[in-house]
Amino acid sequence: MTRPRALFVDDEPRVLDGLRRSLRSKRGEWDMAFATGGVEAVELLRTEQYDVVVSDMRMPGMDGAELLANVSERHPEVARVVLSGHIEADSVFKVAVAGHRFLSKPSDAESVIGVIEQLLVRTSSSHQREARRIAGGVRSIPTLPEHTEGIIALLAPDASLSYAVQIAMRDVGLTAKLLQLSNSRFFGSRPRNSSVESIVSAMGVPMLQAVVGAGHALQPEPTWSPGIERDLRNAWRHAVATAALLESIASPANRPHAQAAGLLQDVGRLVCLALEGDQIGAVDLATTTVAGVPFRDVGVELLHLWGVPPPIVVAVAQRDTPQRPQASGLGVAAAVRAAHLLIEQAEAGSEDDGGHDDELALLLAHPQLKAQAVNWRQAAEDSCRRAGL
Amino acid sequence: MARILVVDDDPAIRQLLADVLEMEGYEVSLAVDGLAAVQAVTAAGPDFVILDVMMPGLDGFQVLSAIRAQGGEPVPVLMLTAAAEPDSDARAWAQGVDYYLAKPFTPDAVLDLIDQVLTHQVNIRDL
Repeated sequence: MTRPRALFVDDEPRVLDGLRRSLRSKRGEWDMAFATGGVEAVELLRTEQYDVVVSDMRMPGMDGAELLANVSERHPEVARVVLSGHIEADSVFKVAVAGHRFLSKPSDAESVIGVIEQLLVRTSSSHQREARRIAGGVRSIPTLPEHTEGIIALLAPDASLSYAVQIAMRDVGLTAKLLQLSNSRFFGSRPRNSSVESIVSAMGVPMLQAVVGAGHALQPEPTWSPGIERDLRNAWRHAVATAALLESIASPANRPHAQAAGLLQDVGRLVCLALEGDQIGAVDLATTTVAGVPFRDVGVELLHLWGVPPPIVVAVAQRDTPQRPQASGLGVAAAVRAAHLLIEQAEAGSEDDGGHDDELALLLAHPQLKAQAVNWRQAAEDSCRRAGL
Repeated sequence: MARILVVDDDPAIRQLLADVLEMEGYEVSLAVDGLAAVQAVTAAGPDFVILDVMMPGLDGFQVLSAIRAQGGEPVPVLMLTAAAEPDSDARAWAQGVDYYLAKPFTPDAVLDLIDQVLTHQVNIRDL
């Protein structure tokens, strides 16, 4: 493998000198380049391949948001990190969709190195480059037409916190965006917030509205073909029903991650199908691939790039992998798999077990689930009804 | 590094767990009874709690309900029970523990479980 390459952009030479000094320990491993402005960075990116670009936001001439938007279009495979001081309320809008990761200034060397190293981790051995190229260009995730109204209502001046939570918990894209931003202090959240509800509460409605508005502004009115839209609607409802069922399947501390993973389980499908008609490559519903890359690999790469908590990424990656949980607990991935299989069975009706009956029986026999004396198949049907299936 | 609270009235088990966890780099605090455990969770907000069931005063189940009643994001709890306590696993699951091990357990079993829960970057590399 070639050496990883990182590009750092800041208009203050003092900051670049600081970065150069504090990252000295990595000189043997990474190739690093430094640019004092957006235009210079664009030129460097045009002539050399980079894995990661770390950019300041406030710069004269081409600012960070403009630079990173440019990178997302021309070099989607390059991971984008925002490294910025205080962010004004009126620019949250641009920042929230500019980067994959967000670091506040000043950041210690350890945090900068930690984020870059995470971004160098490969999630897919067979399709890494392609998966990153497709996932990297995504700045916000589209919503279904019937949810657009709810999103717009959320932007109203009198929107309440509880309404915001209710909308966010059923919106795949908004949930992913909130989890992405919850790692960063810019957006008012703290690292220990892992449920959508606590992230929204910590952020507050005005900040949430700025974030939602940014995503909404990026998404044109969807023009999906009826077949694609039907497929997306089914995947979306399946996700909402799975998340609802996980309320009782997952243990208390695993619940926030499990429910998020349930909702995000087909984020790759959503992102890939939304690319229909784009020049990215052929979308194939039958093989669930785009340009030969499985939808799931794209989704997992997207969640990883966005810094979504690893237990969620792992559970989404393993949704279609049979799970053998230990007696000491289901954990997140097996809980998500169990809920997914139960919902799949409820959707298909009793005559079709989807071929996973043995695995499901084993999962339901786990002491954690047996102890609850719940009729899980009944609970799955209830969750489907509530999700509008 | 993650902060782990170990709650057990048996000093030998407390020390054993503290030793193996600290060796792995975890930051360990100890509580000798249920009341101290509830106070430690409120005050310090640990990332993980290892909780014995049989303790004088507040037992593990009472500690668990007190912790869960605190609201906010629930902390992951691993409950340890002696084999001589029948049905305690069913009771533990029904009351909302996240992980459960019956005594006797090996320190490795505890360590493996905690590593799995708390260090996920490794899992992503393995995908």
